[in-house]
Amino acid sequence: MTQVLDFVPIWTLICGMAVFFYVLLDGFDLGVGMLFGLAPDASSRNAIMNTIAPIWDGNETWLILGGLGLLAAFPLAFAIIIPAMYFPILVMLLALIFRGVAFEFRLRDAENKTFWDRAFCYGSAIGTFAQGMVLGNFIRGFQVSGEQFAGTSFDFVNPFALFTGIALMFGYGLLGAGWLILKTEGSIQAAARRHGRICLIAVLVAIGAISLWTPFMSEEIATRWFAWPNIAFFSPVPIATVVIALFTWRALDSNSEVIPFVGAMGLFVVSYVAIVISLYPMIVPHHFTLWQAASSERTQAFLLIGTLVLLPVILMYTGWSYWVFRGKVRSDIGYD
Amino acid sequence: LRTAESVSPSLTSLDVAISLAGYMLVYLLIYPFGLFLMLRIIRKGPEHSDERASRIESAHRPEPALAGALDLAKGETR
Repeated sequence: MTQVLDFVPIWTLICGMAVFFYVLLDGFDLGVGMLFGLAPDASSRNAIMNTIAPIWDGNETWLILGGLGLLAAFPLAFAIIIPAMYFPILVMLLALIFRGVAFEFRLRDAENKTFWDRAFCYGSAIGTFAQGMVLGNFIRGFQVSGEQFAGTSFDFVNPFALFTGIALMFGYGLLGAGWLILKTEGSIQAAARRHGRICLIAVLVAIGAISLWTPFMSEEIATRWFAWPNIAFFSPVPIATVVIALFTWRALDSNSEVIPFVGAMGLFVVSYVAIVISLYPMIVPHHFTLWQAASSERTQAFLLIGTLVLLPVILMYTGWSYWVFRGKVRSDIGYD
Repeated sequence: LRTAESVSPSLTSLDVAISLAGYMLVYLLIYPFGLFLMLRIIRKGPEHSDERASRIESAHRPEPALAGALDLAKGETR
């Protein structure tokens, strides 16, 4: 059969987009979950909860799409990455269960700070930390022999992954603070601005540290960025990062309610672009490219038919639900 | 391919035991807790104050646009 169309770029785009949407969307609601733990009283806790109650579970759609997309379109990558990340993913799922149940259970006694208020905060924090560890390990690369993961299930513990885990907690905290500034007023918003500033500083430190750490860790990444003429092509990325960071900082200090969230998303965009620049076209860094890990062309074509019908539907209902629940929230009116 | 042949080589039975225990722990905590909360709601019984009912009712007042449609459906014109 002659090749009419290369499906790999399309599936790369779908999976890449799904993962990125997941990080942005569940990122802010996990961040809100962590900031929830810092809320001083019952009414601000209820208001914070109400900002994400109608939309948080829809955000997790993208995790499922990204994960299943990887399984179906890049099975070799799935077979290496998932066993290597067995425990971080397990911990993430258990943490998300706690967090999801906390939405329902805490409402039965929303006036008091119950076990489930704590479960919501810690579940969000642990889930985020686990995701950050997956990211760190992915960038660092896995031990592979043949077509299998050759390390042990405990290889996920290493300084770089611990660092990216903590970094992502501040990153999601920044997104969550941006969301709370957008959705709340008064003292809750003021607290979100304060927390946002702390998170932004930590995020910038983390971005700087990871940008220095990765070229030392991998020669491929160093050459990719610093060899001429790449350095000229890619220099807009760090410059954009600095510019966005400055704008976000100023917006956090001003009255702007939209820019802090947009700026936080902007920082995630440039970080994601930087990861793509560092690793492309590898899907299992140092071992397999997207094309080597891809399933057969027929499989990819078959799956694409259903996906292309479903994707617009998901995008539409997601957009719709954000539209329906637009505007500021209050603590006394909400979901129960 | 038999199930035993498709197991990830890195996955030991200890790993599986740990993860199974993790799931059991979480579910053993969540189900009794849910039951406890439901029993507490039942014990408290239905709420008697009208305050809550009126709040729900006011939230569900038909929109003007909908009211017009309802009139139309009844054959009335404005």
